[in-house]
Amino acid sequence: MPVAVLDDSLHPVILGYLGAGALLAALVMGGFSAVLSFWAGRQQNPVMVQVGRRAFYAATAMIVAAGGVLEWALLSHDFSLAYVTEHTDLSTSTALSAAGFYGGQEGSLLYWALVLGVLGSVSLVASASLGLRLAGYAAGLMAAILSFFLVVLVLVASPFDLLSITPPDGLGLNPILRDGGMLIHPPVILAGFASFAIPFCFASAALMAGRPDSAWIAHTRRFALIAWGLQTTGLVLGMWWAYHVLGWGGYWGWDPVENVALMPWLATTAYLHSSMVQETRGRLRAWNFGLVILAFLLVVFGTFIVRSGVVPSVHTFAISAIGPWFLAFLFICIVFSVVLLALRSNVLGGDAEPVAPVSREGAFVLQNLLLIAVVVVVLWGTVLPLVSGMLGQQRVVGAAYYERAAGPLFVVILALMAAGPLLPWRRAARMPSARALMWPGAAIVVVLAALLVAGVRSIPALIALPLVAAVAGTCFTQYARLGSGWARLPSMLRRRRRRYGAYLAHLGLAVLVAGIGASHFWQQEKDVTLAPGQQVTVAGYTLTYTGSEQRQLSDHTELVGLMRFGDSTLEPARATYSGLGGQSLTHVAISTTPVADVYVVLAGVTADGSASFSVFVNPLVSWIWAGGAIIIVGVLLGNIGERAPAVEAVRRRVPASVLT
Amino acid sequence: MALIVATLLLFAAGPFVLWPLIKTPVDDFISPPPGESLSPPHPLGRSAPPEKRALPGGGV
Repeated sequence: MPVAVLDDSLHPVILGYLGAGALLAALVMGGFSAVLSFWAGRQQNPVMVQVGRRAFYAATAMIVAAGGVLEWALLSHDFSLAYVTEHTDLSTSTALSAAGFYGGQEGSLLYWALVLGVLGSVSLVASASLGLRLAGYAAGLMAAILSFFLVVLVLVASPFDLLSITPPDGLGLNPILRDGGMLIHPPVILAGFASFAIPFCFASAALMAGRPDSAWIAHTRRFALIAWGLQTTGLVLGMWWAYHVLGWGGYWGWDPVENVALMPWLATTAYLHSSMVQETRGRLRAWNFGLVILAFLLVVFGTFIVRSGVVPSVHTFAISAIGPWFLAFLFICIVFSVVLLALRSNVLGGDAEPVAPVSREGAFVLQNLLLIAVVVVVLWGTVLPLVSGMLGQQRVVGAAYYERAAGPLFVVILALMAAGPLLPWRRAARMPSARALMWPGAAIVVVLAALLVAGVRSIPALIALPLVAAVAGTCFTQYARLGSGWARLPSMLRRRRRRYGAYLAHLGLAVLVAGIGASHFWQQEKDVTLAPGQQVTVAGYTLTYTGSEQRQLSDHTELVGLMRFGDSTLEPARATYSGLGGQSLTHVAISTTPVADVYVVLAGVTADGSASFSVFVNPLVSWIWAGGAIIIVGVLLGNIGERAPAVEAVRRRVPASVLT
Repeated sequence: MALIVATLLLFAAGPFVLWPLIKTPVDDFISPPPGESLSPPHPLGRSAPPEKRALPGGGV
């Protein structure tokens, strides 16, 4: 029956059925792909491997279709769908309505499946060069993970559930999510989470196929970098959003949700370095498998933590009934990984000779161990409320625990970042030359002297910040070597872009850590109550309270406190959403310069017109955002256009027609 | 209704998914037992050399 002749009230119903039908078809196709790909990989049947891969592409296309239907429903305010009613209303802007796609539990799962499907499809396109077994198993694993998400979407958390009565308006998005950050942070971090599955699938497939060589590393290197880059961007955007929205003057609170995003990032950071040891020296094979598997397990664990609400978090809006499903999935993944590693321990073997401690690979190994130690510290702090709660009295650790336990580890990692790139591969016959050490050494001396002259006596600051300068000095040393032959500069950059992109990422991390260190060591805060015309001075910055005013906006009212700061006026506010039961939210006012942020929070206004404020001066916070941007630029410059060595090697051996 | 939509979508995707089976002559995709090498070139010389069989069309 043509849709055009249907009654208007039937359109939404059809939308719901279209979406639910697409998800159901994707589940069938995903399950088919998983079973067939495993079988075809085991049989090394080339035709069936292709069919299994195509089934994965088809499942992805159906998920994309379901996503399109959901987006259509959100943008057309189709309140017959429970999901649309729960996460948007008529006053929600078009951009935030579109962002409602991943604003709720069900939609974010669909978004996750969509990213996994799309990136997984891209990763499978050229996987035939890895051999039939490996390609078949990788497709099977990816399809199995995709099918898990589809099972949850179809059976437990469907975004296409219909309401029996269509309401005239929706409930609207949670006020804390009604922000520009909503448009960028969640999709990036969720995409990062989803993309960790791809290296995991290929690593596990390589183990299943008995192929512990570096081919899977070369094939998935870009996807590991994509996962790491997305997670880096997501973490920095999350910090930026928290800083601008939550109104407590900081950007990182060691909240469980922040921790579970940080842990896979740390594991993948370790992997990106140790995989170079395998590619260059053929070592650390078992360790690399372990790291990739650990990163994915941490992602699944994090999803369980966020969605189940088993530990207290600021992200409680994400809690739902799917926690047990993810717990079961986590259990299956752990058992699968442990059994696989145990069964394949014979092919992984041990390295013939130990890694020389004073060498590039030695520095990588130590850095890896330190990063994993940080993961353990963060993991323990995250699960402590859960573990202690099961034993009787629930205990929660604060920032002090993480700073005391992880801080020294980060300091040693910084030292390795400064020294490691100066060490040669294999055994270092001699220490780095005095010339090579000149820049980082000078940076340490200059920054240390400057801090002492400025009156800084904090030991952590006197250790960390000179080391940050040394990291930057090392990066500049490497670039200075490059620049010594100006004529060769373009060709050198082209040939070794991966290396120099990595140094740029190191430099970005140094800038980011400088921002974190400065804002951590020297943040100043003052809580004041001011009558109109009165001033407050914090760290040399003077602000004048000029009065307050009430503003009516489309979906909320704002009580604004006006603070004159130099030639500009800062407008911290408290927003009240009457349509959402009077929920209230702080709108922070920030004046940013490269030196410091002046950060003002309005606590309230009394009847006599006086207002209470929290005023923070946060040094070098803008360096954090700049550092994050430099890291991403470094990763992009170092890897866009870089050839995949394994595929190239195979292409040289095999006729082109076979691989296309 | 969702079942009908799903069935239609699966039928629509069928030709794409099964295309490698459709285009391959029956005697060309007999798979060897696990662990053994793939079958030798076709007696009429029409099929691909062994390397090609081991690394089949990876395009899709």
